[in-house]
Amino acid sequence: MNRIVVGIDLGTTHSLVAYRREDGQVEVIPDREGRLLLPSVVALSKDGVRVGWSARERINDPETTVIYAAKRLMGRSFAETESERRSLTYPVVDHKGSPAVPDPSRNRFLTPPEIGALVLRDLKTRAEEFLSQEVSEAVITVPAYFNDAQRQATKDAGAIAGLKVLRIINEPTAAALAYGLGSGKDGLFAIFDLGGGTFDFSLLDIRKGIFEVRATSGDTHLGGEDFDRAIVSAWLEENPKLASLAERSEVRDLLRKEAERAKIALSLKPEVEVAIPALGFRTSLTRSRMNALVEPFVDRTLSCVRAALSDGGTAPADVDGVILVGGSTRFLRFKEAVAAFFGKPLFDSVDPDLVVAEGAAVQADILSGRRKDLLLLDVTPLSLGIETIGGVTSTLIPRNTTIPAQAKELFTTYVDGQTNVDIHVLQGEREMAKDNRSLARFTLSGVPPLPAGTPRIEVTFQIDANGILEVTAREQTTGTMSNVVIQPSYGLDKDDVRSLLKEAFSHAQEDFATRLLVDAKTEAQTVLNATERALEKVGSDILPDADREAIRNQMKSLRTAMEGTDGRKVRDETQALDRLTQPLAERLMNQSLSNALSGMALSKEGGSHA
Amino acid sequence: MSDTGTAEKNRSQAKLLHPDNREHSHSVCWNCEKNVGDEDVCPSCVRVQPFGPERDYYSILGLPVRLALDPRLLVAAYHEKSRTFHPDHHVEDSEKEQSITLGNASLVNLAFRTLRDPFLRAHYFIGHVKGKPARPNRKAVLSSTALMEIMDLKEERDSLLSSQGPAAAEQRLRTVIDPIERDIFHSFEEIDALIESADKEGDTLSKALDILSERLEKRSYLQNLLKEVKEAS
Ligand SMILES: Nc1ncnc2c1ncn2[C@@H]1O[C@H](COP(=O)(O)OP(=O)(O)OP(=O)(O)O)[C@@H](O)[C@H]1O
Ligand SMILES: [Mg+2]
Repeated sequence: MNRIVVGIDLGTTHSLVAYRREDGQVEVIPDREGRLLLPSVVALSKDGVRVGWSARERINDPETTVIYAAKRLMGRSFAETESERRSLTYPVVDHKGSPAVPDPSRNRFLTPPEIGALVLRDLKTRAEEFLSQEVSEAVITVPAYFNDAQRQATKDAGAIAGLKVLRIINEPTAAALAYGLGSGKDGLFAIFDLGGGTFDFSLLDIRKGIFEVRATSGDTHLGGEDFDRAIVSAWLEENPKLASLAERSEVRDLLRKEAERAKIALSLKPEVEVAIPALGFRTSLTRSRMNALVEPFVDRTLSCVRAALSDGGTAPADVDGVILVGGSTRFLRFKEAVAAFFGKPLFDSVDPDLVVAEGAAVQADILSGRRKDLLLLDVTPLSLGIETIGGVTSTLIPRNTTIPAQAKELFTTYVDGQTNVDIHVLQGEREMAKDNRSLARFTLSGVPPLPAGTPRIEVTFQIDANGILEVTAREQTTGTMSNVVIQPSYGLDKDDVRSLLKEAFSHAQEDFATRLLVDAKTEAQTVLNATERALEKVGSDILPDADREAIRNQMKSLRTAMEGTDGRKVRDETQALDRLTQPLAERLMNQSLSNALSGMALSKEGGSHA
Repeated sequence: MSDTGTAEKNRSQAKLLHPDNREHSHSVCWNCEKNVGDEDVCPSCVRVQPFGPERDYYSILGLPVRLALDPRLLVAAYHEKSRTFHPDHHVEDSEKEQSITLGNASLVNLAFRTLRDPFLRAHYFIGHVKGKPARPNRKAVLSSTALMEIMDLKEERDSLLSSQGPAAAEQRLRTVIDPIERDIFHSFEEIDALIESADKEGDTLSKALDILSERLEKRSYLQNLLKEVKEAS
């Protein structure tokens, strides 16, 4: 039986798995019901963990935690995900510095890689059933602009799901692989990939089976969900009463869903009616109004495009065709803007939902050793360098360098008699080290004590075809060496992955203390979020300054308790906060109820705003 | 803590661009020990061969040592070498072969990156022909007149920038950069002709290379002025 490596598109909203058949065709693998897409949704409830369609059905079940868009949290620290967390309706807590979703029924916290793993495992099972053979190797796609930590976290997700991830490739590149293969055309292609959460742009030269990535750029915070939010904000601005109802997360969810529906409808007709009877909300949305709302996003995508073109040393006119990928490229305003920018035909005939997975399957096939006619020459998306004196970044490998890549540079000491040299490895485009991402630090010791500026320390960066970076420092006179293979500063180490593998699907042990802590932290986070929202909303007319001060202080004590491991303490502090905010909650509840009752009035005021 | 400091970039040393840690000299196959000459792949046992330390970027890509290169030939050569050496085409090979392909493919990429850009290529070429390791080196000497000219231009640029905006400043800089780039390309032809004639040792070549060096240097100063305009806008 042939070894099969599958290609997986692990998307923000949907995921898919594809493989290359014996006859050379690439095929997306359906589930038992014949569906190709799997919603990237995980539902946690007392009676079990659900993934995909059945998880999505639970969205309004108050007993269930429904996790979606977890990709936005992937490979980032708790602190880095602040703005994401605000727009998510499920609880996300700080678990050893990483964001995590509490799963009280199973007594654990789920980190983004573990959530990703649940989705991946579902796809793996689907593929195994379909192919009637074990599937243990995969190529997984990520947005081009994912940094090292985000890529590593995606790999961890694969490992937890029992998949050996042979390669992480960029989504737009995958799309081009599928497209280029399908069309058989050579030339320079621009790939414009606008999905639910991320925007990616790539420039690819396709020549006789060689796919050379010339440049990539993108924005990990730009996608269809931003447009939905922009619509909701506009509605809220126009309807102050709706705004106060929208303090409740279910209301926000409802509005967002309605906004998305309206947005999608606008790609078919010039105007849509929007009505949410439950909120007494009725309005209409026109294309031109919608276009005005997304115009800032259009500008942002085009400035990424310009950056990539200039990195690739090309002008828009050099591009032979533009490939559109991702659900949000169905948005007419974007099609129009891209067509105007390049003045070239747009290729959107390939199903934008499927191409990324199909391309991943092509690369999977190459890496299974079966295909020598195709080759993908990929680049590193971000610059890599080290910190030099004064906290300045010295770049060794600039972004968009084709990999594998090697670079060497000589450095020297700053202080007379200096025997240790600190090598601080950085990723990013900023001048100052502190503004870039720290990938690793290590020390080269045993440098001969010489006057400053005399030792010759050669630093070598080697990136392999997987994008893994190895940094070596060598003192040339003595030959003393030191090196590090970059483990990102965020992410799981090998042992973590192993133990997670063991744990993942066996029952978590009944540990009362952990359980208490999980419950308490979940509760605490919910109360904190609600309080934070309430404080933002109310003025000193409802809440005297002294009370506000007291609440703030109690929030601080609670946060401190949450950093510890004592569940009881967290619970007590939460209760204390609850008591302090009780009167406030009542006052707000009254206000929100009276707003809800005056829903009819609201719909009149909120008339059409074209 | 006083003896631990951040590495400082070594300004006094020329930076090595060519890797020098090849384990094998490139005439006998590391695997079957038969003669391989300059072949990328051993004709007897079909194993890829590591590039020896004597291999320059031109020979790595199998191209003649010239300043003017046909971009299509360059890309074709690059793709051919990538097919031979890219690690993705060697996933099932031994560890030893994988490490050779990693090193070779990295060098193929570096060679292509350097030779693709005409100005980087010219820097590399000069170092190669003069037998010195090359690298774009900002500190290369410019005559004081040339420096004065640049200073004046910088002032002019700044006043244009504030009075008429970036487009005007860019346009003004272009009127100086464009002729220099034309001169540089003209040097390419001249020097290639000298290389092709047997007159390699001659004084003429060495002088032509010096002139090219200075033009490249001047251009890189001017490019910086231009870059600042772009960054400002
Ligand atoms: N007709 C349409 N007009 C505008 N937007 C649309 C349309 N159809 C789908 N979308 C948007 O496309 C987005 C989903 O796109 P896609 O499935 O490519 O994202 P994803 O792959 O899950 O996310 P990402 O690539 O960011 O990880 C959603 O925001 C959806 O609202
Ligand atoms: Mg996608």
